[in-house]
Amino acid sequence: MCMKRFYPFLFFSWFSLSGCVNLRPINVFSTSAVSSLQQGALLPVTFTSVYQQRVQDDSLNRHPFNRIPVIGIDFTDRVRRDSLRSYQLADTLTEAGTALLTNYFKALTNLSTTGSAFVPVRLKSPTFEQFLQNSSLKLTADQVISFNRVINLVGAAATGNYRRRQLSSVLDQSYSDLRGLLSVLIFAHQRLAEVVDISREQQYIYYKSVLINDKTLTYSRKLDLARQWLQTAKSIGQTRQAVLTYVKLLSTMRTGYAVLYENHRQLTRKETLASIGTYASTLQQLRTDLEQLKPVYGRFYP
Amino acid sequence: MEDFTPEQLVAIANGYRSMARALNEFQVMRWSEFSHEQQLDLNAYQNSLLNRAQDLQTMAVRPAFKNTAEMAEGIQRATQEAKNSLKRIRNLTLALNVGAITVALASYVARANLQGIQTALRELSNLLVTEEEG
Repeated sequence: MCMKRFYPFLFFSWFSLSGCVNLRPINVFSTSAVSSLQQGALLPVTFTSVYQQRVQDDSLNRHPFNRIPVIGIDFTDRVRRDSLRSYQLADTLTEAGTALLTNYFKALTNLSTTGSAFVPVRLKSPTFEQFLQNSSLKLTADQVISFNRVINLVGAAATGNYRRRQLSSVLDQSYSDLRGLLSVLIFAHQRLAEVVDISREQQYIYYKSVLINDKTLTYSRKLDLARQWLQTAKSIGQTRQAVLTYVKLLSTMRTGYAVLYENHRQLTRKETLASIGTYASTLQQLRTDLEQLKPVYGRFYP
Repeated sequence: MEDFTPEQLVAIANGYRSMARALNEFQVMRWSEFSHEQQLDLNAYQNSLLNRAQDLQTMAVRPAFKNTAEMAEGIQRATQEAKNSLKRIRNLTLALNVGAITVALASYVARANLQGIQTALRELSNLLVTEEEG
């Protein structure tokens, strides 16, 4: 009789536990993901900055210094910027995507924080849909739907009663969309790395153009110009390296998130905990690498 | 009409970039043989191709065509052939013409000008035949 009463209780407890997730690994991983995503805003380059440098250098290169030795005081205002809007849109999309992901992982962090009051997270990009409409980075219809689903989910997490038990269903609902969103961001930053790499070759053309346009240059001046070019190439190389490190960081996050999702119903297992911990420490290492690739007063260190 | 896929755009951009590099190599190897104007032209061709490549990488331009797969393949093949021809060409004027047509091709691609693309592809093909016969 006593046992009969006990069985439903046991069954209920087991069901509750299996529907729950262990909060600690999620908390560790999402906290690390938020810190990693914040590095994106600190990258030393954007699509727009590369474009602005390019049009300015192009204009300088075309200026007839042999006839007019000075440039106008409003030179930069007169530079043509035919494609500026497209480059700005590429930045807007990556910024909005990063903000959305940051808010998602902040929501996960808050939902998985134990022993403290729930801090609601509000989506800071209400006009995200507009960015998507005009985005210069090509998104498929499925990707747009994914982005919007994540917006709704983060919104619901901010206002609803999602807590411990609901985390499981949050992960279930958002996994494929988040993977898609991370893939778009990885692709966008890979493009940024390529754009930076091309700018190195553009700088080489400007270096050659000085040599072509002034045949009276002395040997030592030519040597100085060659050294300047090498310095510029090095600095652009480091900028590219910073972007590629960020790409690696996003890729690690995508893999770690997949491991987290695949094991989210058995997160108490030791090996799963260790695995999530590895991703969190890899992210930490990559953040440190990125930190070292940031320019300080126009120079890179170390 | 359909847009190029991101992968096709990246492949075309890489083709432009390789062509710019091949032109640069040609220029540096035979630096003293070019006139001042020819040097400026060669520099301008490389710059134009790199700018087009950068625009494609950022997807600042998204040309649309009826059969994008075939079009992307045709553009990549043409830039590849142009690039390879620079390894064989001895005539400087011919090399400059190959560069100029590639720049024109990239410009037509950015504007999705089908007729222009076909003309550029035909001219490039004729030029490469001339080079082989020479």
